[in-house]
Amino acid sequence: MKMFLAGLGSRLDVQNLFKQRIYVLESFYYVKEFMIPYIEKYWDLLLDSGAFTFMENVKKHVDWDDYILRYADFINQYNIRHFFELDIDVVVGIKEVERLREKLETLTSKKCIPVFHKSRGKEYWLRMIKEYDYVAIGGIVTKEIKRKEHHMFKWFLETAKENDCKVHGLGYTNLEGLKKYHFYSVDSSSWLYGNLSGTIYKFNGKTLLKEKRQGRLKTKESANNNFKEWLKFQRYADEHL
Amino acid sequence: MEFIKDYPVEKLKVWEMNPRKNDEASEKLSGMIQEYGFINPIIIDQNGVIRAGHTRLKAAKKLDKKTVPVLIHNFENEAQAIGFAIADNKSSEWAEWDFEQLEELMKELEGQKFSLENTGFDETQLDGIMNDVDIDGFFEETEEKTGKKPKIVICPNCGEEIEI
Repeated sequence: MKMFLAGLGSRLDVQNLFKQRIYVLESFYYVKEFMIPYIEKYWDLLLDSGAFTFMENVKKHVDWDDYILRYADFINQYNIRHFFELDIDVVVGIKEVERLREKLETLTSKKCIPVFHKSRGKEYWLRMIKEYDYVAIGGIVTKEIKRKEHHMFKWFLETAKENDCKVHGLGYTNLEGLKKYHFYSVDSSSWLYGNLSGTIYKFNGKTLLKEKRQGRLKTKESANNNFKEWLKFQRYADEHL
Repeated sequence: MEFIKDYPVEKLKVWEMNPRKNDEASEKLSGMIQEYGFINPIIIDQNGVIRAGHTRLKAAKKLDKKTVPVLIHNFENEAQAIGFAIADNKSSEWAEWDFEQLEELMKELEGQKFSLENTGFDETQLDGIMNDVDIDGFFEETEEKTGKKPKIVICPNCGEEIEI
């Protein structure tokens, strides 16, 4: 399983660790100039459109066609292989998302990773996994799919497998669940939140253990530690999960 | 190695350097002990110091037990005793669940009206292990929410059902 680490752009102070092969999920909205060399030389990048964040920040009418043009330009310029569609079902509705997806795919001449939401329904999922070889399940972080419904992943993963389709679990980082549900890939920014709450992660050879340390580590030190430990987990997951 | 079935709790010496945090675990374990009894003995060294079983001791105290079963082992030296204490905890992390086998066992227990929470798994975890996937039910709920099917609410004032 590929465990993509997210939120690297917000921790410039540990960027000395970024110069290596890492699975990274970054948002187009947050891509910064300093990341470009890493994207070009080191990272295996999964690119999110960042559309939702963009919309929240501009707080006015968004020209999505213009956004798609800029998103596609970036994908083309840096030859990004894996990128998500605009995950804005709840904002513009599925029909508009589909129109923007089609435009994005035309502009890049590549298939994007469509992001499934429960509201799209069962038949939509079955169609998606036939048409695409890599799809994502959204709504996990927002609890659109409740924790007690996570066992439904079995069905999603089995049907996708029958169609040779890879599944990304957007924001799914339940460490126990990762052993049970074999997503092709997932992503997590938990290493960042650990820094905020003073949690120190330790990879024990199989999983990550959390330890709360109050005020004993400076933020940079904890970011440094947590990133390294999550990276160890990323390597382990890649081979064993 | 000597086994003593009723060893006085007050004679047990806590190993002060125990590197495990077990307050939460002892709370859960006391429920297990109530259900099954104190089956797993505490391991102490020749001086009465606990080398494995601090959580069990805390749980026993919560249940106001005066005696517990112990196994007394003569360690060659302090380093060996410490090494064992750490390894005993660490080794519990090595094995993994075979979820299919587990599901089968849980279903068997459920069939015998056994309370599954006494296995140590919480409700959410049991949901994940046990529930057959009712995928149509899963999507039906969404259809109701998204308005594909009308939603009925009951007026809190007159009790009338209103379609929204």
